[in-house]
Amino acid sequence: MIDKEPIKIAIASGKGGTGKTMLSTNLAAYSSRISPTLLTDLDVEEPDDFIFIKGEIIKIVDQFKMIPEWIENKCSICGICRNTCKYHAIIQLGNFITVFNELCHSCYACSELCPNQALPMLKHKMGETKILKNNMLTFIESRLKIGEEQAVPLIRLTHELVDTDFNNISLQIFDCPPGTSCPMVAATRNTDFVILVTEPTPFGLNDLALAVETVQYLSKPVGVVINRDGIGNKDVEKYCKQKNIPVIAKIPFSKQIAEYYSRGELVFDQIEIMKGVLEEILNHIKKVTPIYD
Amino acid sequence: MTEFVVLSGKGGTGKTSIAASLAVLAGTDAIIADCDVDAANMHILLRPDYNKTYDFFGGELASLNHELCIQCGKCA
Repeated sequence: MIDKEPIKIAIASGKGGTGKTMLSTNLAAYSSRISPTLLTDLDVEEPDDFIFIKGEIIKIVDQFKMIPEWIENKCSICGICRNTCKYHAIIQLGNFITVFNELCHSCYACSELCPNQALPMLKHKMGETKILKNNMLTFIESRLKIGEEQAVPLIRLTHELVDTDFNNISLQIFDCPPGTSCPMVAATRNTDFVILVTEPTPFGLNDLALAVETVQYLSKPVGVVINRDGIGNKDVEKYCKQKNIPVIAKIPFSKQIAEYYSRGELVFDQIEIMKGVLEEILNHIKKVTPIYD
Repeated sequence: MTEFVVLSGKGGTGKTSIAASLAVLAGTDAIIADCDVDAANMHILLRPDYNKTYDFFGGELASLNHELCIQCGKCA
């Protein structure tokens, strides 16, 4: 049997609240009825997939970043560390050195350049990754500790964990954080295809354009899903046509869908039209990426 | 000066709509700051005249000095 590379699909958006989680959870659960599927919640600051996806907890992994710790009795107050740090994470107050963990980007420069080894790098817990299983659905949730400033290190570690331990699952869906900056880039970076979920409103269009620009800068193929189709106007569709971006599917504005969602329930079993939408999306994924079984 | 922030955990809950409405109610005696630097939307509702635009410079970008580099790999 030849091992196939997994297909990694990112579900992102510019605007928040467009329906990424609704789509990710329903798509993954629906797909897993037929074949093994991996769903990873990379919205590490506020993961929500767990509300809709239940399962048996297989493992909980503590996730760490490396932060320098100041050893006072080794320090010669030379100031090299504070002059080196480009993130303003180290300050000197008289004869004291303080490290701001929240600003540290773990570049190791201060630690490596310290002539007295007074800034060894130590593990600092920044979050947790939970791995759950429900029949053919494997669900990974990464959650940042409250107060941690940076999402990117945990997003990167989660991608590494998926690559190391879950390479055998051929369809991988990543629920990404909203926005267009570092967390979204880190989440979509090593995926094969990005689905941008938007709503057909001026806000939706404005933020979609920013997200498209970001994804195209990363040279990722992209498709759009229009959620709450029927409200707003047709400007998003016009934009997609003008930019030659496929509109893969449209989820109609539906009070019923909103009600199920607001109760924390998956939608496709209750609402037939949603199954059609999910099939359209899976068919498009098969068309644009190497065939998975 | 009273300063307050409109926040939410979840996206798409109505921060921009509420903040813009408060801005309109506040009238001329207010300063409004759209801090959603990722995907700002207030301008769509408030339609400001852009008086001044400033470039923002974030961190510095490292560049490699090939003459000094000994390829030890520590930076990578």
